Amino acid sequence: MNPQQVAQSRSSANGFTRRRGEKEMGNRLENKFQPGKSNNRMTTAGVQTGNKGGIDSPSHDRLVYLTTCLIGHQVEVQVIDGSLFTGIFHATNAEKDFGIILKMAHLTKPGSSREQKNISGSVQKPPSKTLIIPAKELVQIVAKSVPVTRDGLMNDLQNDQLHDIMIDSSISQSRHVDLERELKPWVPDDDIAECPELDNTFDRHWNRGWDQFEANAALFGERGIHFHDKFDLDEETKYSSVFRGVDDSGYDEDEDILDSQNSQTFGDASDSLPNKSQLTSSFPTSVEVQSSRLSTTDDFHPSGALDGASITENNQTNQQQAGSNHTNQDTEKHMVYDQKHTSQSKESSLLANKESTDKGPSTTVTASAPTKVSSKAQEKTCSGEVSSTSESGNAAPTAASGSRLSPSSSIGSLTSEKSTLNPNAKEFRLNPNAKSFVPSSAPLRPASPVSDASFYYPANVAPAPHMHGMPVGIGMGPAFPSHQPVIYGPQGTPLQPPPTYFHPNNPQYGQQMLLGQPRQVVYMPTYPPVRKLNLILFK
Amino acid sequence: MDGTSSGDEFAVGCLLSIKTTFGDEFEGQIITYDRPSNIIVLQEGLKSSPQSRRNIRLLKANYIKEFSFLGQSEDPLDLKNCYVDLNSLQSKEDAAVRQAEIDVERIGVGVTAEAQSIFDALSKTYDYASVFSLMLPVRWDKTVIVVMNEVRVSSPYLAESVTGGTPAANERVRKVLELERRRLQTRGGGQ
Repeated sequence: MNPQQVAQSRSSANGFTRRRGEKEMGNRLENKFQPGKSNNRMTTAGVQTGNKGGIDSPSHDRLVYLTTCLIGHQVEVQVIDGSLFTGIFHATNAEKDFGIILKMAHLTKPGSSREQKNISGSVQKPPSKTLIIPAKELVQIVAKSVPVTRDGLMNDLQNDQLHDIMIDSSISQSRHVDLERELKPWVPDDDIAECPELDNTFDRHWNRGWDQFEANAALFGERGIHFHDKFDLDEETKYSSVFRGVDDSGYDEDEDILDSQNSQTFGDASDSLPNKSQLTSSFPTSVEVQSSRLSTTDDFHPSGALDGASITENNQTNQQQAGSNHTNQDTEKHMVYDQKHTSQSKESSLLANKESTDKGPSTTVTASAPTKVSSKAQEKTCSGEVSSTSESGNAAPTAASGSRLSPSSSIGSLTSEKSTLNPNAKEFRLNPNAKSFVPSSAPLRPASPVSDASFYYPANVAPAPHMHGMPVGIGMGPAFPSHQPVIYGPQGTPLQPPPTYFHPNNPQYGQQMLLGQPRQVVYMPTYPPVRKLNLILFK
Repeated sequence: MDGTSSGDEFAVGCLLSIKTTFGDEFEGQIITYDRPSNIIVLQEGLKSSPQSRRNIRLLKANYIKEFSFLGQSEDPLDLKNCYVDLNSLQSKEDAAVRQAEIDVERIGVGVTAEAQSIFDALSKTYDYASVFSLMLPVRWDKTVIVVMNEVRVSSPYLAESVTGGTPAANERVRKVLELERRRLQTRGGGQ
């Protein structure tokens, strides 16, 4: 290299000083280190023939190789006056006399020529971004734990990459001082809907010992479900496939109602229930089991479709649980059944009722099944439409359980179920023209509001009932856009429009997020808006 | 030592014990000696078994005060295994620089080691705060420790030196300060 280049590169701080010599050497080194294979780096000065001298000698090659290995490494440099500088090795001019450049170097130990200003040996000056040490002043360079061979280098790289991730995150969090904070996975609040599939299938302990009917009897002197006076029937009657008569008596009437609804629902009962006989025969035990079993949400198959197979399966599992330990309830139910169910039709209706509860909102359980569980089922179903159903005197657990209906279950129930149960009900149809939330694509919301906006979109769009789909994905900031189809599906809006509306906004923002400062932006909004959103939706 | 001599003394693999003009003493194995620059590259330690990571020392030969020859070993550099990836080196350097920049903020300039210890203790205490704040919870402002951008602790970093912030924050900083001082005293004795 000509001297001009050398001088230039020497004073430059961009690290390409070394590169030039480096590259050629690097190319060779990357393939194979072959000493003695030198060619066109001959300079007029300092050319010596022989093995041990000269710029192109193998010795020189080795030196260059080793100094290359030092790049990025923390080194300690001693200079002519005895001072020690610690910094990151950046470059050297290999062609000439090996002056070096350090980055972020600071004086570790002052030499004799420097005054001892500091009181107890602490760092005096801020580290200099670039420190050039001419060859004349260089005495020695000490580096510890330098990867010299290929494996060492790869290990180093891996370690650094891991370290890199931390550094990036720490930078994006504005120089987070200590990186040992333990990240805890986001857990939803307790009152947030969960996927019923995730619930413990055989969680019998959930409602152990709790008998709603007893409680109601104690409180109100009545058994069964009674609607609150202020129960708003409008949405119910409109959107619910469950027929609810205004009911203030026991569940006799409900039984009748149920019966009629059930026959409508299931048409010819025998048709849709291939193994009805089996079910019938096992009815008592099944119902007992149901009392315990239906307390779990898992019984309610999300598909919602009248599916003999599913019912079978359900009942089989019920039968498995015939030995459940809700004996109190069992006897009580038996008594109740004996009183009320004299007819086969009623039995079957109850049976069907039980099955229908499995199917979700297609059930016509109003107050029929004496199990409080069925009432829970009802709660579940009606909560599929209206989120705020806590009426009918049920205790909180039922409401909570009701709210745990998965979004897909409500999907299935509403869309796939051609329900004629409630003739007065307005049939639910997928309405592509329904007023859906349309975020205007024009204002790409600026930086700070985006975090809020992106999480509040669904709040604007979907009425409350379908928002129980939200928390499933809300904890994941960057994944947010991908959850939109889930959110808007249940609502009935076609899935095509949302991508055109939402994706431009959110994924754009998402892209911004990801390309820009991923951790900074993602991390921040995740927590506070989540809480807010949950508070809004699930208070 | 005359750098322009035939250099046989600096044959690769030689085990030497060297003393520099500054009084440093060490032992190592020669990896190479480059005559034009007069730099000898040593690998610290006498064992010749190849390791992936080594302590390397580049020394200008004219600062060798004296040395003694300890023996001859094989070439410490396995030429078949010498690979260098420039890109990874570059990223390694970038990472190191970034980390150094971060560290800069945490190190006070012109402050005593004691003050730095107090700073570090406060940093650990207020670590959690950075979760919700984009600011470093504890930072240096010249020689003043600034906590949560509110509470300031200036020299001589005593309980009385804590000013600012809400009473609760002030109190907390004070407590941490006193704890750290006590710890330094018991540990350092008279430093």
